[in-house]
Amino acid sequence: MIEKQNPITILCYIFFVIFITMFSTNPIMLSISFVSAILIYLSLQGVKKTLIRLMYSVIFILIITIFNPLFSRQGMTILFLIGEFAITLEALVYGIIIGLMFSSVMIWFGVLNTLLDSDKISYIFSKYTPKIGTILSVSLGLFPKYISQYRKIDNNLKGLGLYDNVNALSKIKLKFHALSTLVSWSIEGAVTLSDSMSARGYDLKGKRIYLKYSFGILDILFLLFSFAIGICLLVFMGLGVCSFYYYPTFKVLEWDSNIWIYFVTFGFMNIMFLINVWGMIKWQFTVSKI
Amino acid sequence: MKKKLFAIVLVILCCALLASLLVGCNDLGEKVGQVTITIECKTILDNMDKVEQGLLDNNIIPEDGVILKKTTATIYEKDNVYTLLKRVCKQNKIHLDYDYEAVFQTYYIKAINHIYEMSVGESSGWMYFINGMEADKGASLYKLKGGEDILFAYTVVVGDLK
Repeated sequence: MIEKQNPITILCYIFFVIFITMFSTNPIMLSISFVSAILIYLSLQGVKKTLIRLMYSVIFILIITIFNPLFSRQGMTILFLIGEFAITLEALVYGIIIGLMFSSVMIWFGVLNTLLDSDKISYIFSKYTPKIGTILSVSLGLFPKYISQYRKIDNNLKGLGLYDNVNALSKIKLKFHALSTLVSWSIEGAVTLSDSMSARGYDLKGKRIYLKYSFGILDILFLLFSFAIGICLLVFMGLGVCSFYYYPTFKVLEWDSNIWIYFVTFGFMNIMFLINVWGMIKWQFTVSKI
Repeated sequence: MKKKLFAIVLVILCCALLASLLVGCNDLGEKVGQVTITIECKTILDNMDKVEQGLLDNNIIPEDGVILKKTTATIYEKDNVYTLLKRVCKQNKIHLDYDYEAVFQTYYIKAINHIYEMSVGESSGWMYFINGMEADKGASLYKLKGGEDILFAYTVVVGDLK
């Protein structure tokens, strides 16, 4: 359902969500963002891919949690000493929080990536800056192409039996050989690509791209909604409504009059998930039972 | 093959860790003399409205603005202001945070007693004075001879310590 929305709406909404996630240090806000990102990713990509994402996030959070206390002398509560260096509880907690923030931003970008393919990206940019749109869509399309071609070349080398009974150094040399083959192939491909694009009239003045997405009433409502709530949340966060500090030491979160911001954030970050689920339910009822 | 490589990397890492720990406790040479050292943050008391919330909530800033009263410390041959401050802070259990600045080849004192640079407005930070004169070198470049009077003071606005 959400995939049918105008790409600009989706882009604006997710950018607001990412900004809110990046500017907050409050653990509850970050947990809300993380959970919402996981939910929308689950509804878009299925259980298996979400579990893989979750595993990477956990590894990432663990790495930051281990490394932050090793480089930070801040914090009052000393857990133990390594030589003269004190490992503090605050640095450990801050590591977890920063890891949570980074991984939720990464999952949100993953959501953006699944919702906006290169066609939609070229649509977003084509209206105002057609050159950037073309460059972006072409270059984004090249990465998966190169990766699959590299695999093909590597498999060819394997099929020729060059990898059998050789030491590690020769293996690395063979990998470089495959890489250089890929580079020469890509240069050749670039010439072909530019030729074919110019044959389709990409370098002509006044070239327009067919736009198949329109701005419906739902799009306008969604855009207004995300702008209103997003800017409100950012302003209130700037005023320090849900600010939180970790150094010199953190305190237990209090449930005071600013509780509303958590509910608003939770609603804001889950609206896309709800639309998506609503679409899935509607599909289940309208699909033919025969 | 992979296990071997992993083991080698692990051993190298352990060696590096041990070496870095051993480098930390170098000897300083013979006793040279004595100096006095004071750490204070009296300028913050006039600017309590600018102080970060975290410092206020935890009562970090002492009421009289003195973190360390005038104390006499013994100095050794290779002592500089940085090593002295580090030793005195360790003896008196005062928190200290510093960074090595490769450009100036000296240690920069970021925080004493959890009061960081820029905690009280943007131009705030730690400075030190030798015999009442503002120091013109980094803390680890100033060699001590004995008999000096060292003052570490927190500045909030430029020029409020003169």
